[in-house]
Amino acid sequence: MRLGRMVAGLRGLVKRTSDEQDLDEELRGFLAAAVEEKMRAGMSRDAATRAARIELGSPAAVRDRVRDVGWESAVERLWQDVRYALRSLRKAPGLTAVTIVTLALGIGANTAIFRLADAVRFRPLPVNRPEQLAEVRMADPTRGRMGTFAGRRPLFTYALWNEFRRRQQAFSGVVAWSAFPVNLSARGEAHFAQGLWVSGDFFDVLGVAPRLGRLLNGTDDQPGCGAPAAVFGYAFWQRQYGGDAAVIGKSVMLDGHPFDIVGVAPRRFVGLEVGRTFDVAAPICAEPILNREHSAVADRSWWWLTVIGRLAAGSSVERASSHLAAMSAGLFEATVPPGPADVAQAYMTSALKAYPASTGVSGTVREEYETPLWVLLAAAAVVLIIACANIATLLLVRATVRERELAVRLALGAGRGRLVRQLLAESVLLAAAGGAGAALLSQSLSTGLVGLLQTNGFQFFSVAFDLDPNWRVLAFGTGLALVTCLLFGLAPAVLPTRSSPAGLLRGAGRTSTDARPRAAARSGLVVVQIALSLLLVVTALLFVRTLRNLTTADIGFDVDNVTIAVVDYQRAKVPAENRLELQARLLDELGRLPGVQSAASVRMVPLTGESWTGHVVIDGVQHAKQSFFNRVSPGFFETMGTALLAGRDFTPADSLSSRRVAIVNASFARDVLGGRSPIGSTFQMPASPGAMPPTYEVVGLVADTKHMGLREPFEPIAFFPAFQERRPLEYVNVVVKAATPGIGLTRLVGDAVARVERDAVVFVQPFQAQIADSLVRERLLALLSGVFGIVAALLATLGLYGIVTYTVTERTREIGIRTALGAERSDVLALMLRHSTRLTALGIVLGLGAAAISTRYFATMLVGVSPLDPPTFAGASATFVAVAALASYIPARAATKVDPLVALRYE
Amino acid sequence: MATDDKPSGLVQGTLYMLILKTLSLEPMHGYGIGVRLEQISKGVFQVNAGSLFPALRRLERDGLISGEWLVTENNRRAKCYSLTAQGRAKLRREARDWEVQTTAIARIMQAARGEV
Repeated sequence: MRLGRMVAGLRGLVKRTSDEQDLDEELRGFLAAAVEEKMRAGMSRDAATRAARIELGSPAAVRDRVRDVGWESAVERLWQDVRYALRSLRKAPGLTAVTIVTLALGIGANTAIFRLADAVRFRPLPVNRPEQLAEVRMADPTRGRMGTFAGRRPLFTYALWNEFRRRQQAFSGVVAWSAFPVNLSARGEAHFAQGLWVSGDFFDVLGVAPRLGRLLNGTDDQPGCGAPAAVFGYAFWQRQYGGDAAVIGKSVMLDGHPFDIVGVAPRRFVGLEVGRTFDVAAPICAEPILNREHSAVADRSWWWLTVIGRLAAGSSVERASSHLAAMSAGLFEATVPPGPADVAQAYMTSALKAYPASTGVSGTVREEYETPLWVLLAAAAVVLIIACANIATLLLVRATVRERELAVRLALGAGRGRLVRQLLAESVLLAAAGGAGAALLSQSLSTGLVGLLQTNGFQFFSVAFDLDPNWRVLAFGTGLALVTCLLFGLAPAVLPTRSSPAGLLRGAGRTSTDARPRAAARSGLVVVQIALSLLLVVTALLFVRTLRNLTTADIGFDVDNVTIAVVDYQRAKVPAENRLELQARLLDELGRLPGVQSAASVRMVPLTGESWTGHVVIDGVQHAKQSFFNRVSPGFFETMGTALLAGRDFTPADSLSSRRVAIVNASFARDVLGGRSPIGSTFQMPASPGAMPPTYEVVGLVADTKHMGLREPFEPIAFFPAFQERRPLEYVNVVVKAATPGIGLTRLVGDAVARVERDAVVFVQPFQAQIADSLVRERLLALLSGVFGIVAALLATLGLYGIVTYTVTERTREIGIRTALGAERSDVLALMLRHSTRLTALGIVLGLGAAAISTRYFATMLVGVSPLDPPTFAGASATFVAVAALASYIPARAATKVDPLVALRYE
Repeated sequence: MATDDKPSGLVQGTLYMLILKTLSLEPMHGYGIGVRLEQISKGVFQVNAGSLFPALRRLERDGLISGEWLVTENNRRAKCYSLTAQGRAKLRREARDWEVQTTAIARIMQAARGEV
């Protein structure tokens, strides 16, 4: 039966005309038979014909309904609707173009942000069976861990990893890795790439196949490996080597040491960390080659590795966790790092636990960007809603213009459903075109968005995301296009067909009460627009003020003219006892450069996130509050513009042979030294059991400075002199204050360093860039929410302007009558403004309410401003009142110019 | 203009059955079917062209009736409909179902208190 209907339908589509003719003939026959019948009953021919005609009704209508029987008519009608919609869209090219572009931008922006959020949150790792992956880490990583922390996710020491790998049975395979900055240039200016230390079976366990050559395997990762192998990331291989297959078998210099290039990883595999990528992967066994005496492999208190395991078939995260808990005691006892007894005790009672990791693990990217991305997505969605409201208003106004056409069609027997479908077809076409445009746009918009997240400094690792479209992104984009279509298309499609054709045809359409539902819809849309855009403006202002608070906050430095130079001289193989002397010569050389006011060294450059912390001991009691430590050379505070409040700066005389001294900041003096006169007081640093804790005498007091980040409060910091360093590193961070920083200075610094040590590598960056890098998230939020806020406010203003303009045209005759009856211009103005004022007021009240409810969801992202900050709320409202007044005053003034004679002659 | 699909008072779907029944008596053209339905029902059902022709088209589509162009006594071409074998089978089924249903409905409508 089904098939029969299908065939009949297809035949119907093809031989439509002969069918129609048959039907016509049949109907004629029907009429003739009816007439004959009635004449037989005694009617005259005329009367019989009339009666038969009335009985039959409109032959066209009958034809239509017969035609509707088969499914093919639905196809045909759909095609008709589409053609009709295309024609009417072509008649209004301006409106059509504006709508499509608006939709493309709106949907595109939403999809772009969603793509990024998807990459940050949902995207499974491009490895074999990612759902089997679980991360292994200590159940409570804040307990029992002391020492040095390096890499982005330092959760294992090498000793702990090595023991774990040998003992564990919870996983069919386990891998460890650590990200590190690696310098590709042998001397002169440094070129950093993103290095990745990986355990030998890293690629095997993950099931990643090489793009070229071979990937690393167990034999590459043997302790003490001599000629290590290296694998390139795909993007790096393309960028640096132009995708040349001949690189296999050549060697690459990493921090000046040769590594054999054995293969290239596939394009989509960029590591296991969300938002990050790697350029070069090398086996963990090669780490001592680069770091030698500071090797992390040999140091039990060096935390640097991240560990992921592949669950054995049939196992689960819970089963793995219980296995890990059972093996933990022996594992931790066998790998205790050196340190105070209480920390060691906490370490030995720690436990490992497994956590799902199918979407990768995150160092910072997911934590830092996920919530901001959702906030931005919400903001972009609100902008899209406002845009839809605008489009709906435009279409409603157009529907009013077409009112008569629609009324005529209704009167001629068109079904209401059919008219709604036709009007909806226009919206569907617009949404489809907008969606297609959005699909084209969203790729470049996401790329641009990722560009906003890039840093350019010591946070050497840039962010990278796999933005390839996947089913979630496609579903999101399509769903959004459909929703927008309903949002802007439904009201304009349904409302015009509601009114009675008779009323409209009487010609009084302009002032008839039939227009009321549409006027109400338009007013409602304007209120929604004002409310939503006010919400966005408040949000934007809060983020902008946060950014401003952070950039103008007192950080204790004046770094406008300060440049950071990292001088790495490990290739020069300078013996430890000569390094302080080399540092002194370097500072001297840099300090004498033309235009340079001062130069000083610092162990941890502030605001890079590097830290050295501990609890000092005063009068034999360990202080409860954690302090930060740093090591600086004489002149550091002067270079950084930090005020010396009391005492003295370090001098070259504070050397290894003199007593140990320290300079503390105001917070340290207040919180740790307890308010006693800081100069001359002493404190001790904690030491390993058995060792004598060194005692330091405070010789200077400086103003508070930020250390970890701009968002943190001032912390207690103690500074030690650079030239009392017992184990100098093979690199030194120098801060240089120069009148004119820039490219010229970079070259001068590079040359000066080369004069002191030919084999040194230098990396130069303005300090301001460092600060800018630490504000990437805040800048992103402020910038995008600001753009969204401005666009939303503009759209809402246009909406209000449009509705007042329209009301004025609609009520021209009424205004004319009022003026003729003696209304003053001010009366007319007030009449026109009353409506818009009411809408604005309602919109502002609703918007403020919405803002009050929603801003607290991102309160944690605000700095120095409350989510309900009264000035922000008041300022945004005041701006809206002013803008709305202007937007409605201009068209309302036109109403006062209405000439009653002209207006009344109308029609 | 009428927008409802079925003649007033006709239970949904019964028009098809009534047409099939009418045609099972003798092949007939469109007007004749309408008149016959009205006559047999003693004027209770008046089927207008707007309902009749779509119904005929659907039945023809479904292969239950077939149309044939004949010349009438007045020398006019008219499409004459007759039941197909399929249509006859369908009519038997429908009539049986109808019987069962009306009996059941009648029983419910005549039910005394406490029975329902």
